[in-house]
Amino acid sequence: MNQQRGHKGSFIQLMEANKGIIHKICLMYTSNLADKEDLYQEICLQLWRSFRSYRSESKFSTWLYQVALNTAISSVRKDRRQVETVQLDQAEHFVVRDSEREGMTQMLFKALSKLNKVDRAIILLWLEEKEYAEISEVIGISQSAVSVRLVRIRERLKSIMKNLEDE
Amino acid sequence: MNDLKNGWANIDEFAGIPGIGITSVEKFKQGRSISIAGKVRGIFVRDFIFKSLAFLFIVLNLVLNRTDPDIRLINAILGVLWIIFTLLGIKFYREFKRSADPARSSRDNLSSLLTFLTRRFPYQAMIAATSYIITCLPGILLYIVAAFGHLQPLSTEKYIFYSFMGILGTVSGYILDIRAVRHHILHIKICLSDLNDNALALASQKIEMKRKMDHIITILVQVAILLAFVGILALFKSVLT
Repeated sequence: MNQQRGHKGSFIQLMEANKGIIHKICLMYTSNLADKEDLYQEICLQLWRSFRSYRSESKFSTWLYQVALNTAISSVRKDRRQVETVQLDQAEHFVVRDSEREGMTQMLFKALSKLNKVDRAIILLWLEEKEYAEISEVIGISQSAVSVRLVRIRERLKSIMKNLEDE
Repeated sequence: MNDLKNGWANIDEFAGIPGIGITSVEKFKQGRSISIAGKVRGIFVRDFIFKSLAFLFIVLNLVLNRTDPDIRLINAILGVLWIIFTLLGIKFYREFKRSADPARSSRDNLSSLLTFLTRRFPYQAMIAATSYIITCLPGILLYIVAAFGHLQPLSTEKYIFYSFMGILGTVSGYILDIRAVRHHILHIKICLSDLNDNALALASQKIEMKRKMDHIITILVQVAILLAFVGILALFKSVLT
């Protein structure tokens, strides 16, 4: 019982320390608040389920990114009608504060949302300053493939953001 | 590219979700599942609920109608089928848990999920579908005894109606599960092809190698299940009409 409590306690501590990462992943893979809450819950649940089998041989952050990104990538929304309402919610979520910085962030998210799910995971890890070796471990592709993919993704992002600026 | 990183660094201050924080583990245990693994787990859970109900009905029938040899025989056969299907269900659930483990690279995670859903899930869907009829038959017997105090002969129309409802539940359950998973399979295939690293081709190759054998086993299992239920329905008819 005490062991279980300690297990929960250490899990909660680790999650509290890393909740910013989970929030960012949720923002990247959802387009409204309700979906974001659902994904957040799902990621936490999967992390809790996997935490029992987590061994400290691998880095905690690598494990966390693996579980969280795999959950986000395999999340499925069947109801396409939500897409219409989503944009309004999202806009409301960001536009409350009308600063240049937030405009930039909003544009970044719009651009990121145009990438496929795997590319989003790769660029997220790069934005989080992860080394190629760790990105390769999380995604499961070679380091050279990571490097090539990152060049392509950044070019694509540049062009998407340029188009968004022109709009 | 510094712009991108600067934009990313600004997110923290308004990335939080109002009302959600990690204050307890229990809080997020009841979350609605949106991941493929979560949805497939839901199918397993639903099947285990049906199986528990079937177990309860079979046991109640055996207790309440212990003097009737025909009822004993039907429930004994259902009990044996229940044991076989439950053991198979547990075996597939264990395989699924291994396949759905998210603490691996995305490529491994998606490949193993695809392999499980393509090769193993059709059997699980069949097993889950049989749960309806295994629950339905002892349920009807129990209902008749509870309603009339003893076994009441059924008219041919009623017999056909009950059999039809049981078979309809079984077939539609199977079709719905397979259709739901087909949607997930498509999603996984898109993600694997997005990996652009021959991941989809390799996973498909692995699945294709075993597909022929899977196909023969699937047909054999379907025939065995069909024969078992035709036998039970015939027995059911001889008792109740």
